[in-house]
Amino acid sequence: MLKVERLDAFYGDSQVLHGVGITVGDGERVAIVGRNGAGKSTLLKSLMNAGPRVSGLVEWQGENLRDMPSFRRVRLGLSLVPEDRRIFGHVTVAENIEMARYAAGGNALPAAVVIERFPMLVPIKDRPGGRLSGGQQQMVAVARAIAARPKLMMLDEPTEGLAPVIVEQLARDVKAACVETGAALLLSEQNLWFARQCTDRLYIIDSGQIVFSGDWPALDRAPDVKQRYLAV
Amino acid sequence: MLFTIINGLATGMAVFLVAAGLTLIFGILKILNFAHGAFFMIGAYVAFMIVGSNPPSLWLFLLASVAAGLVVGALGFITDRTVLRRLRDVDEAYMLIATFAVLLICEGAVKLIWGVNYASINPPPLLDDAIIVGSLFIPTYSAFLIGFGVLVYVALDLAIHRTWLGKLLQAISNDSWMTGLLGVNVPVALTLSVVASFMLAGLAGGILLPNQTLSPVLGGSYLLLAFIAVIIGGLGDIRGAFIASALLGVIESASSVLLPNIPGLATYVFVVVFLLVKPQGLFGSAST
Ligand SMILES: Nc1ncnc2c1ncn2[C@@H]1O[C@H](COP(=O)(O)OP(=O)(O)OP(=O)(O)O)[C@@H](O)[C@H]1O
Ligand SMILES: [Mg+2]
Repeated sequence: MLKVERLDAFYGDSQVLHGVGITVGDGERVAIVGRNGAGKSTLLKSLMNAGPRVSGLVEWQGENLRDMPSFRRVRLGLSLVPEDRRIFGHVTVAENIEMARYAAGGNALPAAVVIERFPMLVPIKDRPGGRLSGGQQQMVAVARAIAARPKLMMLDEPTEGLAPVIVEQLARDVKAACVETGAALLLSEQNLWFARQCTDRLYIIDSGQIVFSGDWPALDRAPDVKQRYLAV
Repeated sequence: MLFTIINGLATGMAVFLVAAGLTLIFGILKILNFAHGAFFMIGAYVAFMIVGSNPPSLWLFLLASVAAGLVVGALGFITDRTVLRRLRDVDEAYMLIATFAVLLICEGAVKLIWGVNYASINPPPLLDDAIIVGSLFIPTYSAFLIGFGVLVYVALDLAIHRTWLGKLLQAISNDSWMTGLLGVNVPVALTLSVVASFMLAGLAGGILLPNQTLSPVLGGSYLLLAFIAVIIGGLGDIRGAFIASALLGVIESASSVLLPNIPGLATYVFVVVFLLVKPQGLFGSAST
């Protein structure tokens, strides 16, 4: 239902993505992995039209999105959790999640229902957004995205800077939330363990180009690919 | 003494009525709108066209003020479409220059439409009286101004802090990019804020019409104090602007009694000292 073809993306005059093509099916969970600076964030932002200048095809549920602004894309069921999470500091955790409902309107889930899905959020639901740890922020950001009932949720490096125990919890919660709501997932990651827990197949991006596509066992069968594009 | 304070509060609320729209547009769009005073003046002229020099009734006076708010709100919409919206993504200096240009255009338009003559306006019936409590003499219009200022403040504060529209506007003010990613139509919300700010300017023009000398220089009259109130209140902070306006009014009024020969001095000393001690503004944060 998401089809991307020949996607180029630019910041000013510098081209960051070169002819990227990917697809994500209904309810499918797919990872984009690649090193720092490979273009993962640029790709996700391009899909939301939220930053880089873009040319090429972004087709969503059969519709070519062209230059549709990001808030409209949200209403069509796309949702992005940016890598810096961007929790609102002036309202509580619950209100951050409720915000998605007032923003997107329509059939969004009430904050209370969403919070139940994320056990970590229950004790902190009335805390101001400005006073959260990195892991808590990430949970809130994912919960806020889920509240809008996206058909495709995009997470940009959710595990960055998180403690291992939080990463495990996050993997369980993200996967469960997608399965329960039927949302597809497009996950940008450098943490291969986490990406593998959450998704069924992956793309590898390097210097703004897709250099590998396949399922996780296929990656195991291609150690040279892993060595070349993912080893640090 | 009490008289001085009440008089000062009335001045303060007049300042606040002008400052409210200024701080709103600054809080959400980060625009220092130099043209705000000019639109305040246009509001005053619009109300004057409806009520004349001797407003026949309190109701017509209030109605004229609301009409002024609506007309100026519509002008805000036009200004947003033609000027402000085009400059949202460029350097702030352009915005400053543009609002200054709008100010000049408005002043020119006012002279063309209403001429350069002076007009003075009396308070409407019921507000042209005085309340006498013991030895205290309070003009009803001053009491009305204080009440109206408080009313506008409470309404704005509730709208911003208690309604979802207000919370979304605050979210835009904090992080418009992320707010858009949550599905908010940010451009429309920004236009709404501009219109609201201009409506407040127009409303203030109508409400403050009595006891004014209406002329094409009216635009500057409250603007300086209003800007000071916005800065002292903490840019974009409604509550701060409210308290700062009241303080400024009282200081002005006290200094005109105590230091009648050097008007304004106390205010400037206060501003300088305040900014040295508390450069972040009254409540220390720049959120709405
Ligand atoms: N706002 C920007 N302006 C100019 N260049 C940018 C901008 N953002 C990113 N870039 C450049 O685009 C390239 C891809 O960056 P991007 O953030 O998409 O990589 P990434 O894969 O998300 O990396 P990371 O893992 O560090 O988040 C990098 O070379 C980066 O320097
Ligand atoms: Mg990134």
